[in-house]
Amino acid sequence: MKDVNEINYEDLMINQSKFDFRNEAKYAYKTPPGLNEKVIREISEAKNEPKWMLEHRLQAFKIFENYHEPHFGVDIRKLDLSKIVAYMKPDAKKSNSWEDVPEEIKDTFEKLGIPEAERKALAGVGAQYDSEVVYQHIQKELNDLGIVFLDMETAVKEYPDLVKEYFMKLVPSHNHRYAALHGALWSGGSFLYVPKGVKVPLPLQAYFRMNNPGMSQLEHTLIIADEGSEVEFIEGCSAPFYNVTNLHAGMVEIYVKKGAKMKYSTIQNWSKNTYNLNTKRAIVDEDGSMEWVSGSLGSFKTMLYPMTILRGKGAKNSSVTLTYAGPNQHLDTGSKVFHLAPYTSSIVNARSISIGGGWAFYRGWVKIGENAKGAKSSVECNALMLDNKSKSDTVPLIEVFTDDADVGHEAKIGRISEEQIYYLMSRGLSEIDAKNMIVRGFIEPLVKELPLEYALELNKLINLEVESSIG
Amino acid sequence: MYEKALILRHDDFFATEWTVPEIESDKDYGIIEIDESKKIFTNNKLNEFRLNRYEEYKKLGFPKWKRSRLNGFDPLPFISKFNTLTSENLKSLNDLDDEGIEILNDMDFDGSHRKFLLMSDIFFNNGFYLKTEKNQKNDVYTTESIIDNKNPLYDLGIINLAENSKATLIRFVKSNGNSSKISSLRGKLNENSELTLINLNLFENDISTDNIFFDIGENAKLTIYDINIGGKVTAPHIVVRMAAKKGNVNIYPYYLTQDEEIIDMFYLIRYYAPETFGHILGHGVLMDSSRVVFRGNLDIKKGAKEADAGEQDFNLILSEKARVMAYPSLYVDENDVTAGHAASIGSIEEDQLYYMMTRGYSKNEAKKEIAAGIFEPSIEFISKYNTKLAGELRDVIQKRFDREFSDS
Repeated sequence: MKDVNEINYEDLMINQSKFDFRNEAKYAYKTPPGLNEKVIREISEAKNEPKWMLEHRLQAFKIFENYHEPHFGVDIRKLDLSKIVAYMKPDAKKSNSWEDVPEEIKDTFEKLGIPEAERKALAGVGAQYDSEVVYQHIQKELNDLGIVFLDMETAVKEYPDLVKEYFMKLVPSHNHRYAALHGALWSGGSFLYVPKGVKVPLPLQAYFRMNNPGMSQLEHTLIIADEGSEVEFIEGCSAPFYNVTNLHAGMVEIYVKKGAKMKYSTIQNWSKNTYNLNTKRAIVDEDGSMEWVSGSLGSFKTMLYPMTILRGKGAKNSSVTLTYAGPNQHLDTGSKVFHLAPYTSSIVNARSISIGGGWAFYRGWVKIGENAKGAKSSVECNALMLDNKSKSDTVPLIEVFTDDADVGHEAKIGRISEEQIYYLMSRGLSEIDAKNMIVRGFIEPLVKELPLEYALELNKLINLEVESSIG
Repeated sequence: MYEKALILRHDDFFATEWTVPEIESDKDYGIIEIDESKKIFTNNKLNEFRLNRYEEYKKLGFPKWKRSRLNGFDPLPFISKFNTLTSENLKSLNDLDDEGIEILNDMDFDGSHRKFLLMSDIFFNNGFYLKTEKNQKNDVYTTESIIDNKNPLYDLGIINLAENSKATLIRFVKSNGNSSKISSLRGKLNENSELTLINLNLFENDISTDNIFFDIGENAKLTIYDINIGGKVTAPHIVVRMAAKKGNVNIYPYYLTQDEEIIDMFYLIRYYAPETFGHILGHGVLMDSSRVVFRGNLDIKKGAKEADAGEQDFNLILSEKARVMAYPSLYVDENDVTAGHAASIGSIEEDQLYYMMTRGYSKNEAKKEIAAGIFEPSIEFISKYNTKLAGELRDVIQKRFDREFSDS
């Protein structure tokens, strides 16, 4: 029998090269590298935006210029924003038919399995290539139910009142430096409105692809699930590897109205030259329910802490997350839940795998406010260090400001134990199968939440890349 | 050897570290206070040590702690000598030998804030040197101090445990109100030695910080009962370094807050060596508008194979205005370890109350018994060494709960 210590842990690493294909760098228009007011005006003009949005951008830029870097998280001193291209318009017209999407771009999404997923079981897809959405489609019968699923630029023009009411109200520009940057430079993303009582039968998906070197992608996703509605949204992202830095500073704002149910799943697989400084936040009204399912696998450095504000009585949150930090990756991720109303509840199940020298850092925050009588929260963090070159940390913040709450937290960090492997091998499994089974069991809470049968791209990443690579 | 409180780096990666803002104080101490202190502590090497430290001290401001509501610090008028009741078997700082000086010079660390650590290192008006001989039996050493606004305490302690020796130290501080206590304590536990440290702080409206750093030798054992009752701002800071194999550390924080008191704790166990064992088990009760910040840190470095690291923190909140902030952090560079932490925050369970009430207690009496019961293990532990001080602790806790549940 082979000694388990002799197992080659490199076999367990995700093979990013499968997503490292790139098409020729084509674009219709791009701003020069660096950030200034002129660039912002150019972006706004290129999009033919209303005046209020330009003013919003300029105000956000002023805030950005005066804002300090975050006092925590990954070191971003080497992120040189003067070299970043803020806006890169793809060489394609927006379309609602795959046939009309340019060949190179279509080829990219074909390789990622997006059209196939849509055909099989998605209610609609938005596909963004560099700075803008090139394909946006929703099934006709869903349109007939009053569901609005548009790219953000179109939504700004067609639903100005609705967008004005909600856009960057949940994450205002002054929230942090990269929220301000986003407010100034945002481009692309999705707008989804689900009317009262409408239950969307199939998930909607947005896919983001960065193709060109040195660019930034700052898409904005705005979702309003009106009272009693139910909807599931899937987001995927990837990019080829370049030797220059790319920046992703997207933003997701979700409004879950009374009694509504929202599930938001993400698989982030940015390449390892990307700084991923993303902001996601949901606010939940009475008896509403928010579910985050999140896999952070790619990027060079990530700071991402999807946050839920439970502001209505009886509102609920569930966060299931997996962070995978491989070689040369520092991923600082976590879940934030603020309980601001009575009888709110939350569950956080955070898992991380570090391998090949990667650094997985869990930074969570559960806050029980003064008015959250009867609140309950349970946080569980588990980290698997697959070799001895990696690092895994957990820093949860638990703040309780009332006497009538029940808050629990548990964390465990360790490796695959030899006992576990020997036990499984004694039951007839090969050593690789045993390891495979243990890792699969570890990521099970995330995998079972993902609609794998719908999204082949996600399936590829989690199932093929993580699990099969063991073999 | 400087033991930094937080080391947030991994290979070529660094994480951003928060820098605490500082505020200068018009009432800061200087050469005059050093001269006053030198009148009673005449050990030349010790004086050399503090003068070296002063160069750094005078460049620093006092910290601005947001969560602890400490906005700078104005030291009370300095007194040159503090009258502490010290057991006869405890040496004076004037008897500090070369080994003791070496401990002082070698064992450097941040403290709750560098300014506070250096303050006690330089301006100490009280202190002791606990040194054991090889194979010495378990002697019990005690210091008892009463602070008030005319008696601020600056305490410097050095512990040097020889191989195979065993000792127990009880540091008792009681307040008459509006005072301050700043201490630094460094301890070296040589191979197979064993120390039990009981920090018993009964504060009123005081500002206090204990800055403690231990170095654990091979197979040495450290047990700390860190008991903090009350205080305007109480900020214990305990760091333990386990650089030799099979070190064994258990820290038991107990805390009780009332009115608007704040206790902001920092505990760090750092595991460098194989088969080290370090656990923190905290218990606390909060009343009124008080607040508690519990910062427990377990930091396992590469090479600490088969280290066993654990932390738990249990908080009972008895007032809707009280606030608990628990930050149980775990940093792991070595995968062949057992590492975990847990925290729970809540109120008294209805089932517990109901059970007590079926036994004849009123609701308030039942609450009082349950809350006071949390401290019983610490009182029992102290009573093994000093029944008088255990009784003092019980009385203070009882009085506080009597006041809280006075309508019973």
